[in-house]
Amino acid sequence: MPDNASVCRVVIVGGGVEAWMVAAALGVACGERHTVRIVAPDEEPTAEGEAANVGSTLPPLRAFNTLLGMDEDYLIRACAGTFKLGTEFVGWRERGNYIQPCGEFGATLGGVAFHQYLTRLHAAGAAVRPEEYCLAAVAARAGRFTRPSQDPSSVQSTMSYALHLDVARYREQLIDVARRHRVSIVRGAVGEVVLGHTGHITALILSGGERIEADLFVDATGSEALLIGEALGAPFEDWSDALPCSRHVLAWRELRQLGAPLTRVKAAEFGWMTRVPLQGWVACGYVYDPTLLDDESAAKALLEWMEVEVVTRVSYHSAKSGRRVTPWQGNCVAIGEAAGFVEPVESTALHLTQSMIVRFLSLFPTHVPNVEPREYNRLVGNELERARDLAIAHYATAGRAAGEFWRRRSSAAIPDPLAYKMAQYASRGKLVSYDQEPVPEAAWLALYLGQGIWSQRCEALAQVADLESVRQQLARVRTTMEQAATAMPTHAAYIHQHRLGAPANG
Amino acid sequence: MADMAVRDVVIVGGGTAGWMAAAALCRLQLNGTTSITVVESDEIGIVGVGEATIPPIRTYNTMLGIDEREMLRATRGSYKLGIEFVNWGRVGDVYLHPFGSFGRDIEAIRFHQFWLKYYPLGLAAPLAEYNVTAVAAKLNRFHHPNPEPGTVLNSLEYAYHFDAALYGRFLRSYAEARGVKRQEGKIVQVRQREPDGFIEAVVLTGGRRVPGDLFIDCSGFRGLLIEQTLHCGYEDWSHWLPCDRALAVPSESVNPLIPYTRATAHTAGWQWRIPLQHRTGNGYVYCSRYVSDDEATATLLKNLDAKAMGDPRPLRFVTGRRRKFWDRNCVALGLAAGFLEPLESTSIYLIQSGIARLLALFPDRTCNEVEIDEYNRLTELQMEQIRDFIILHYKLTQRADAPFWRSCASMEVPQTLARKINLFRRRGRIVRYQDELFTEDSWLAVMLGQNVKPERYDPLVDVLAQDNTVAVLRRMQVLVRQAAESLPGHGDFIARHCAAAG
Repeated sequence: MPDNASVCRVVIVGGGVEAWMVAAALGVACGERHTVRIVAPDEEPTAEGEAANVGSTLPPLRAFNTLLGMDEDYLIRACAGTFKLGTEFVGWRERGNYIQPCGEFGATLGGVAFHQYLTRLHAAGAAVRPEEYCLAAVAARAGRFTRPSQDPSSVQSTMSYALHLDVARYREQLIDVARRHRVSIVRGAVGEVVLGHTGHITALILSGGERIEADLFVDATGSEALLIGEALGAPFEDWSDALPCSRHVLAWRELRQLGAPLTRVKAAEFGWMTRVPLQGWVACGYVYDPTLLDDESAAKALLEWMEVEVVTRVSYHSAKSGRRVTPWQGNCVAIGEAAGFVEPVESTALHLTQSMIVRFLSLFPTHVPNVEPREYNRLVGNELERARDLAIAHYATAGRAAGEFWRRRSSAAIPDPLAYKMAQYASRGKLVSYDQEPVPEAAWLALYLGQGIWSQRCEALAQVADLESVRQQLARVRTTMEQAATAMPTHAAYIHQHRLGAPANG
Repeated sequence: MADMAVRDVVIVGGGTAGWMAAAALCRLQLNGTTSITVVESDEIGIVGVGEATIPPIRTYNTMLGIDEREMLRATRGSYKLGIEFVNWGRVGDVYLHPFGSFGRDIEAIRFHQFWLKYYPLGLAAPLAEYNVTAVAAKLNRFHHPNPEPGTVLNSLEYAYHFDAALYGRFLRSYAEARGVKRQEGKIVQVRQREPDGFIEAVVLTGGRRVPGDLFIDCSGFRGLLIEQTLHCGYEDWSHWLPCDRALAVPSESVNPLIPYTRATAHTAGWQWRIPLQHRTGNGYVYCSRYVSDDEATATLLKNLDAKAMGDPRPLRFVTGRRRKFWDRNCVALGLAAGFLEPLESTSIYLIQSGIARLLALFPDRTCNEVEIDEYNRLTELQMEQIRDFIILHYKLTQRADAPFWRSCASMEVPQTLARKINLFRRRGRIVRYQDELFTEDSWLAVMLGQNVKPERYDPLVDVLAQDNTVAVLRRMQVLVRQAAESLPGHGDFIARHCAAAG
């Protein structure tokens, strides 16, 4: 825009997928009015440098991809992508597992939330399996998939979906978008950050001596937080007391037969393991508490779970849960891990990054940036805290007590907003949403019900409904879901039918 | 747990709030334990300021299985598509705050961002032209929305204008037909039990005692239970919303019957105009520090568009909210819970949403603190959000012709609102908080309607080719206009479907 000429040079620092998400988005958004540059390392890091579970995304990333003009079918082919209808949590309570779906449970009946009727039936002594009332979960269990319907009267509109992507290839696609939108790429490492007298960054000096000046700097350097942390000293609020799994090991293995459209997250002795299915292989990870487990033992445990003895690639990475108190300070905006990170048991890694990018774009500053940083810091801070609460909730409601790690988890302090949420649910099944929640209410419901937690009472209106007719209505919902799921092709067949197969040797 | 179920619900006061609560709660009686009694006195007048509604009222009616035509006949109601604001930005300004949405997003970019770029260039029409509800309002047309998703007329949104006293009466017959008891009488005493101060019973003139496990205070401004008995306290918001009096008077109806409310700013407040089938409701909401009652009466009468039917009825209020809406076994609804002037027709909505929350959190006889906390948290949040939206109208005035408006323009507003205004001024960004009642489109209508000009628009807009975008905008405008013109006249529609007898 002509009237905000003063911010016209933006420099992004970082080389991971987060940095390229920023570069691509800024490239698309800024057009030719601003010069966007990215200072990236000489060699792109391999996927090994990324966080565990990162290839398992959440539904809103699809809108982000659209914004970047990336066609979804093309993206799936290019990134060996598969579909995700939810996450299967295994071993988080004594028996059984559960799916946290991308989708709704049942439908509101007579102005009362659906799960109130499930609770009613459960209290009346019936064996209720909540998953059977959620189309996304029923389809996922059956290994089936189809894209949801837009017609609100169709049961298929109760589903949503996300993607599993090979992150290294996703990054290639982002680089391509950035290039096409004339983002210039400067290869090199930052040697020095030059600060002006107001505490603003005036320039970066690369290790080769090149001086890079800009009006606005985006720190997408991940946990290093080269600008916002190291240079500007923005304090980091450490959450590792509550979320101590700050280390992870990743490994890959071949996959011959694509199964259910699900990410799997399994509770393990010192943390949790994750399995993300892609076309042709699976990406697995063990996210653990490094104070209780060493790298070698972690890798051994992971390979055991993967039922392989040797894999071609194994890598380690550290990422501490916590947040930067002021992710936007002066003319430096931190995006991604540099701004904050939450142990990605809920696949929030890329989600939080895209959310920060969207917020940043909508707050792109003018000459006097004071309104925008405050709003950005408020929104990003809130969302990170809500993601933190969600991750903690998995531990707080887990039914495991054996071993040092799980003993510590079960006695860990619960943040007040989370305690409030859990108390509301426990009393009468009330689902509380605060501002900037990263996931919808249904995800919380799936978590509670999946962990076997039923509220003490149901709503009064569900309580007065005739039990027999509730039973019948719910049975009908179950049948509808089952029929709708059965009508879908299998996950692999859907990919085949829609010609979404990745190039064979890709 | 059935043994702890609430046996007697006593609703104190039978105005709109009391009967709305009774009608919604009567389903609870199906458990065989709960019974509902409304205590009201024919001697006590009913304050019926909330005669214009907003679309969620339809959810309430649907939940109760109320037939719309029957309801409109009984309440002599009409349809409402929005509110027209006159003289708010500057004297002579007119803008519509319609229901429904403006335009459609293009490539995930908000519609209004395109408008912000192309309108000043003369390449887009006035904003309202992209909202089918607004265009229908201006043409005095009405029909129900098209149920087919994706059609232009599917996005039409509406609510009602009705006589609130008649609506109360309508709901009373609904509730009584479903077993709600009515107890005539004036309350002379409220009995609390030891040691927790729960209300045990209310005592009527003549000594009759009405006991209850849960009391719903619908006694109006005074808050007979919530304030006079439980002393919950009141948070005064009159430093932001200084109007403290109103005069209400009906006038004879005029043709055509317009499908929207009008709110006209005067020198010390504003005047409402609500068209019903048989008459027009009018009222002047004003600040007594800036105008005398006599002057206000004269202004009101001078600005009627037809003959007044009777003398103006005075009302007094202090804008604000009860510090606790639910305390022990007493829940306050309607004016007993707080007062916000009806500038955005939220009075009945606040009652309705209080009832919905109460139903979702309906207690047993112990009245668990967990539910009380959540009820109070959500109610407080909602009242503050609506308060901010109402303050917005005053804050954004540019009128320098009267001291009242000058003081509104210069007042310091709540942080939550200041943030919104600032962000909009910068680049037309609209932030909304969780579960906020008013949509982005509502904020947009008022902020643009009162002449806020964002400094810039979303840079993503420039990514799309101008020729193409302008053509898309043009097409939207044409489709909206055609759709609105295909609708029947509002008056005709009512005459055919829901004309009141006589």
